[in-house]
Amino acid sequence: MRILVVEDDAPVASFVRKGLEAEHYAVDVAADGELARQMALESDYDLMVLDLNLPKLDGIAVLSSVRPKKPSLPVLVLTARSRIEDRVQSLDTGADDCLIKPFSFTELAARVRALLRRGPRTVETVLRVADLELDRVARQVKRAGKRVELTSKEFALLEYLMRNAGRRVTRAMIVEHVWDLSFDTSTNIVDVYINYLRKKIDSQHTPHLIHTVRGVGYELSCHAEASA
Amino acid sequence: MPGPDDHKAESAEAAFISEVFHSLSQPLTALHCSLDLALRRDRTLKQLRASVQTALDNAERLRQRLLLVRALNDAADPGDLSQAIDLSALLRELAEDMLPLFQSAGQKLELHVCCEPRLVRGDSTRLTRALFCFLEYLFRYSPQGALLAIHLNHNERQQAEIRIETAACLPVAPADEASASPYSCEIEFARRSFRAAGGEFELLSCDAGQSVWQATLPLA
Repeated sequence: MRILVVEDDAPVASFVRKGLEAEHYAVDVAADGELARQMALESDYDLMVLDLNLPKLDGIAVLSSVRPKKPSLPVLVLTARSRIEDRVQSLDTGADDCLIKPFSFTELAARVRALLRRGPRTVETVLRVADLELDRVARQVKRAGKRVELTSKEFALLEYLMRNAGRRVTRAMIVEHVWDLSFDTSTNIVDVYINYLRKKIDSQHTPHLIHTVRGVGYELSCHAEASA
Repeated sequence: MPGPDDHKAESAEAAFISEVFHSLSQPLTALHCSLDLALRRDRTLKQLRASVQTALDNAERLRQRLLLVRALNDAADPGDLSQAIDLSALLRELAEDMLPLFQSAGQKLELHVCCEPRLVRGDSTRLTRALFCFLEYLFRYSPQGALLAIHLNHNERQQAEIRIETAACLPVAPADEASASPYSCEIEFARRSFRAAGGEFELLSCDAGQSVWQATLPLA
């Protein structure tokens, strides 16, 4: 897997590069927008990590010119702003995910993995993991054929976990996608809801599907244990 | 000549900066000390790992606080105030959403809605964020068994009033009395978010037995 990291701050670029290389990705770095656009268009990358504040050509302009020609290239935007509008603008321009600086490498790595493993957007009506079924239209959940009653937020959380089945998702990713809060509140509402879901989905059944990934977040999968 | 309001604003700003400085300097000091310790020659591998872990924990605390400071700055940007929001529906959804959090700490959360429907003018996203953060703050600082009551009503000035009562005196102060008691970045974030959402937010009373907060928004 080859990743293009676009970051003009040399220490940040260096730490992202070393971290991703330690996770066995091949990494190229571009330090300005013009070079980033050229590299993204001329080479085949599996993912682009793009800082928005760049010399020569800003990140939004890079995204605007690359996206039409590389529609399937996953782009993770790094931004120093936490305003809702900045996030919306990035996503509207074609970013697949946004990460607010300062970030931890664990958070960056989790998002990179989620984007790289993401297949075509899920359009199935019914999501299935082992004997767990979630019908997105009828808004019904069944485990081992038995109906499970969930609140609307529990349903949204389970749907997010099932859409990302087999991938680690961080608490911040969950808060952003399920609660629609685009900043880190340090809330533990995610852990509380995961406990509720576990009681309803897992406590009476094997294998347990919701796993805690220590220091990262959660993973829904039918493996016995998610690796920490 | 600066007026009394300017002095109040300056005083609040100074108190806020002082609080931010304090909130950032704690983890930074701990981070610095942990790295200092890690570099000492007589450290065993176990001690070295422990120091690095402490440094990492404090770097994370520092990151969280920096994010909050930036969110505070960004929260002041005004939103789209032309939206008509069904405030009773928004509060019901939020209360249902947050109830498990309060229950997990043995706290109670009650919502009392008078006179529906209650349409207000403001920015829905910012309002939800302000309320979520404020309720989360109350949850975090309220003792076990505390009751949090939210009352939705309207007043004669064509405003909807959200009154939030807790059976505890929380460590907070309004912006213009910031020097009187420990200041809170979280409360300032909620206050700015309410303003950006088109409303106002204030502490009505705070004593040993109860804190009462009120947010007002213009009726649509």
